[in-house]
Amino acid sequence: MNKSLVRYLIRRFLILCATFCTSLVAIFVLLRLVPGDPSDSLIPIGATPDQILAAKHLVGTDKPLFFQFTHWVTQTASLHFGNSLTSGSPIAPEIFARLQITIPLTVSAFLIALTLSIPTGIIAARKSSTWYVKFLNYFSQLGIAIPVFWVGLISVYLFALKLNLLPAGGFPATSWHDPVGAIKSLILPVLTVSFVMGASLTRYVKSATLDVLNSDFLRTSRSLGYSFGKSMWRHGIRNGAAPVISVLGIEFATTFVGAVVVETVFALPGLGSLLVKGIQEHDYPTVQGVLFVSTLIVMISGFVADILQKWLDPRLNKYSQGSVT
Amino acid sequence: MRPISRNSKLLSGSILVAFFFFVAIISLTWTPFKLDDMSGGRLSSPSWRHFLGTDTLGRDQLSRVMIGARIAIEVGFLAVLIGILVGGSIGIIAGFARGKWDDLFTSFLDTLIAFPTLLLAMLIIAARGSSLFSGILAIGLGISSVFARVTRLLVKSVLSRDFITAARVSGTTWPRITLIHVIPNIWPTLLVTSALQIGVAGLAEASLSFLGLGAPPPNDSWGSLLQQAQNTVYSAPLSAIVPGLCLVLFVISVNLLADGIRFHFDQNSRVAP
Amino acid sequence: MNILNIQALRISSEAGVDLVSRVDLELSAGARLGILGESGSGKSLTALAITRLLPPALYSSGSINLRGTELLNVSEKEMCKIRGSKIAIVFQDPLTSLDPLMKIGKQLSLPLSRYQGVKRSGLRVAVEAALNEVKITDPKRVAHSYPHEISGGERQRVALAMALACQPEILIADEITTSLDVSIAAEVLELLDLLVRTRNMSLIFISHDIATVSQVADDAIVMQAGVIVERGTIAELIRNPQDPYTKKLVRSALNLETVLLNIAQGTPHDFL
Repeated sequence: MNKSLVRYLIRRFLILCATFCTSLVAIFVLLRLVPGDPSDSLIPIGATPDQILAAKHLVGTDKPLFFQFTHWVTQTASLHFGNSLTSGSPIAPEIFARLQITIPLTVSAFLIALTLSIPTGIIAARKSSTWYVKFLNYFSQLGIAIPVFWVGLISVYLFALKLNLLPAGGFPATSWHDPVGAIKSLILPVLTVSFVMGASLTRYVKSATLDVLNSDFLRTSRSLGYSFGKSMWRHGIRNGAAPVISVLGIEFATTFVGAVVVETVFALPGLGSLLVKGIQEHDYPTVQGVLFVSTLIVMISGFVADILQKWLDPRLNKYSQGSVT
Repeated sequence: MRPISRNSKLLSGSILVAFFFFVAIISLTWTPFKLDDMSGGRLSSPSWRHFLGTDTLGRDQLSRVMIGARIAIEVGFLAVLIGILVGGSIGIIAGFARGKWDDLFTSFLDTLIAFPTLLLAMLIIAARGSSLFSGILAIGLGISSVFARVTRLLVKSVLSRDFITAARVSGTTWPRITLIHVIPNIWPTLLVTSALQIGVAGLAEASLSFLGLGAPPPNDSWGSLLQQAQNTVYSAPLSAIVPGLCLVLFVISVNLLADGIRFHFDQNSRVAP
Repeated sequence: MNILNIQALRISSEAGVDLVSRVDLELSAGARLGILGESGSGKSLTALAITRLLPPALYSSGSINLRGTELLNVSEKEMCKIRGSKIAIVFQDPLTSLDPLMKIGKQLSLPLSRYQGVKRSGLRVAVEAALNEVKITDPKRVAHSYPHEISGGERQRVALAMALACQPEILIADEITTSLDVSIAAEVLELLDLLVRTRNMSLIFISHDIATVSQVADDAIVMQAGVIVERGTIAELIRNPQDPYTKKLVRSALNLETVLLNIAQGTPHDFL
């Protein structure tokens, strides 16, 4: 690791912390912009002032706003997240349990999408008008227009209900202690998300491949007597990978969101369903907790992608996060 | 610039988008059946009376799909409007920034754009409760980060060109430069971005509605229709297929339109081989 | 004796438009030929056609004969053996012609090891020697840098070094000084002249500037809109241009020089 890489790392990390703190504040502030008090959902209509105060005390909104914020920050830093307003039980274990579904789902879908998109993107970049090149191009155009939950719905209909190949939803009650059951439950969701993300990534790979094919440095290598294949291998792969890596951070975040949405279709007890439930029930501590964890995941993936990119492409200046058009 | 008649993407895109617009406007005053008309019988198959069948409450599906088109157009265009106004303004300011401010803006915008629009939208919905306006506002703010980034890049590239220096030398003030030189040069690309983001907004709204966080009835968007179709997908697959198809077609249409616009303005920069 | 013989070369696009046509030229061992013309005249395309590096949308026909081998007929595999070792090109824009993600030393070491058989242990020394040969000051720094970290003049010298590492018979220089400052360009031209002489290569020098061409080439052809409009020695072209385009080229160049000379000598003149 050379010096400039280390300096870049430190700088990006500081920016990461700064933006993370900003988002913490943002999450806290935005949730309290609504008129009324979070404790409203706990008290019946026509409650006595004592009851109202008791409810506020329970939720913690009887204390000044700043105190509430610091309380939340310290709580979050120790990964406690408080207790759910609806169930009263601690949030952190719940989030942790649900992460065990959402993370494997996101990561596998992302890896599958990435692995598939590389060959498809490269093939799609060919100029020929054979049926498979055309098909791949249409596939990638379609894939970015299709909502991931609709693909999920259709695949539930096809594979689960009509063909009865895989479970239509749900997750084993014993979670990963039943690994076969768990994997079976995740196959359709993972395929659904990777289908949509694959289409998106294919476009980036195709564009990067086209850029490399038309590049001057490829021409130089060939002019020195190296074959097309060798030139692509030596120069093309690295240069083609650079623009793709620059979008990996965002694509991972999108995959994560896709996983969150798709959980509803497949009745998976993941982070997504917890978030939705929390929003519908006005369970602010839960929403805060889930959003905190989501933000953390998104930012870390962005950070990792940044490092990867800087390691590969020394041209980036110390502030930029790569180019995404 | 290439004549519009030869730009197949622009033409097909415009026609399709115009079609959705048309349906949306009609639905404001007329749909085959009223939404509280539940006389159709539960989940009946397509017939001449009910072209797309009925839902679990006996309401005409075609009417509901038409309303969905209206919601898609509303959310799409209004969210993009918010995005341009908020994001565009930030972007222009960021584009003029220099030195430390510049670095600050870059880092800020880059991290903002990495934050998923949907999560941001869910956060805002959590705060304001789900309604059509919340959804539009939430999505609008979510996509403004994209507009901010694009605008900033465009402004920077325009400002680095020589005719700006020439304008400054001849005494033109910055506000006037922005109006006369910057904006005319950036609006084509912004138009393309807007078209693309209409599709993004539509998909985001559909996801929100599908999760039950979108506009409550009677403003059922295609996403809501799909959410309700979840339970009946086996017995009435059409209810799950049609709204999704409409959504896909809508997004493809705006993407075609965006490509067409880009192609239309790109023609002058074609370099001869 | 001619080592390169081009006859009736034609380059056309997919749509059937001729970009270059009826090009004949001969190059003998040790000869220096200039190809003059403005942008779009087809001079760069001709160079690409010789090495069969045209973009896939363009087709070439005719005869390109290198010491008896018909280059337009050989297989791609055969062509790879000819590129570099027999004919090498240096391109106009070294910023895009060099791999942006690879250090200079590494890029230069590739042809050095392939064509000069330098072993891994000797590469560092060989790279520095090669950089010294193209008159790069501080070769250590340049070898450890990426293309964007060195100056334009240094980049062009590196590109030259890479082409020379193949030890070609024929060197094609395609507008190599066009993007450089005047003083740097002059140095690069001097360097080119020296290297071509010491290595006994044949040179095809492509440029739009007749003054530049006259510094390195003995003969030249003038191209306009894809065809050759005039050919001859540099002296003939400058003193006695026949074609209207050549006349214009020479006259403009001379005018510029005259103004410069007049100012330098203090002679009064008109700015016409």
